[in-house]
Amino acid sequence: MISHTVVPSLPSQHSTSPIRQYVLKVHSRCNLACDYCYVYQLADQSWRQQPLRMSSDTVSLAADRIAEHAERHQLSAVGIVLHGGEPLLAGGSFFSRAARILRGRLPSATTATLTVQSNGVLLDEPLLDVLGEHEISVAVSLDGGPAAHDRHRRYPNGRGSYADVERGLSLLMSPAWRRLFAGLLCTVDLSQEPVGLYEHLLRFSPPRMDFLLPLGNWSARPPARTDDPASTPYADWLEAVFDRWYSAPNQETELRLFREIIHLLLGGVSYFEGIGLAPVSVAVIEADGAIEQTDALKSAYQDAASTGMHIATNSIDDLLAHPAVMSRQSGLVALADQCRSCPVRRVCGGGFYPHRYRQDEGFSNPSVYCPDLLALIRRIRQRLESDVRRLTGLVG
Amino acid sequence: MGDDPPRFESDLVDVGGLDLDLLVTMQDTVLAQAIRRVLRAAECPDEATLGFQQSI
Repeated sequence: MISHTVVPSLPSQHSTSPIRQYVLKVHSRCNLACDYCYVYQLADQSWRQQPLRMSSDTVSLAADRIAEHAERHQLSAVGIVLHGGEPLLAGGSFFSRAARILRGRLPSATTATLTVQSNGVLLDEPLLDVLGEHEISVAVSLDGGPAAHDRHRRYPNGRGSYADVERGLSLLMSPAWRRLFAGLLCTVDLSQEPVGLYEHLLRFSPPRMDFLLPLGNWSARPPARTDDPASTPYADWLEAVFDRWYSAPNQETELRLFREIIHLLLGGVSYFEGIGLAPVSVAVIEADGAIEQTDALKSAYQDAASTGMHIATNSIDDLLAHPAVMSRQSGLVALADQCRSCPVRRVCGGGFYPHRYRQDEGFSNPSVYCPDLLALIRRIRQRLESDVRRLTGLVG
Repeated sequence: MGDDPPRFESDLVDVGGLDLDLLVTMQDTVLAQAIRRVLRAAECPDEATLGFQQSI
């Protein structure tokens, strides 16, 4: 096992980007027991030491640190994700209080976008009224139709959660709260038929959605991700969804992974940590006030996301000086040798950081999904290039 | 994978020959929206940073 501080060596002169997004772990427990959950089911078990709910004092300290950083770096906007566990377990009065504190401490020139990422089963009218009053958007995790969703996302007693999520989503889709609907997150399950699953998610008219690759790494491989570089099951699955999404006469929803790959291929930059080479700009604040890195690192090993910092004693600028954070803000120089010479390095960016881990080596590896990422990016590029050539009259 | 020979020198798709007026008349396809997004980003560049994956 290696320490999180084992990161690629970096040039001595290294510029940092301020933190623009905060993930507040407002509740450390969950009412579901999803079999792939990185908080409870994988390598890290630090949730057991966390308080159930973030206290008002911790919210206030976090708000002060966020405000301090925003003022120091003159940020016009910050994003705050209220996360868990299941954040809605914190209750309506918590969200009301937290929103007032978080927005109230910010400099007048800084706005905050608040989003809660939920499993959706606790969404009801009184809670949505509170979230609406404070303009807190709601994103929901949904893995497809009843069979697909309930295969993984169950209550501790084994009962599936789909029916309750569907009920919550139907409320969220109603005119009173529709504006709060941020989108859907779905974890890829290769056993599900991709286009039918995508079309099921479209029934909820999400403004945006994304398909997440299952968390895994070189030492704990994702399902069906073998050593064979010619095998690309995740690219094949995602390509089917891409073709359906891309071919629609009018875009039906924003699909984040594909949208960002296309944007990178057209010369833009990505805005989420799954893809691209831009500096990572996320800080996680645990329920007890600990400042951590992106929490999906918990899929790698115990305390992988830990920095040893706490909002009571450390500023967010202190986090920027942490070696692991510096590495994740260094772009190409921090990638593995194999990635630095890859033709799609600027688009792939080495893939999602937790997917690069190998026990005893750390994170200086390509993604365990390297063959899938390469195949997917190439196929999307071929499709784009073909269409652009047709539009410019060079072909057809 | 590194074993494959590179099939292109640049990963960028060349949109230099596109008629921008065409975008106005194009349906609201994924491609049309993507090109409009690139044009907006070119007009108003901001500092690019990567956000949290486990939320949307």
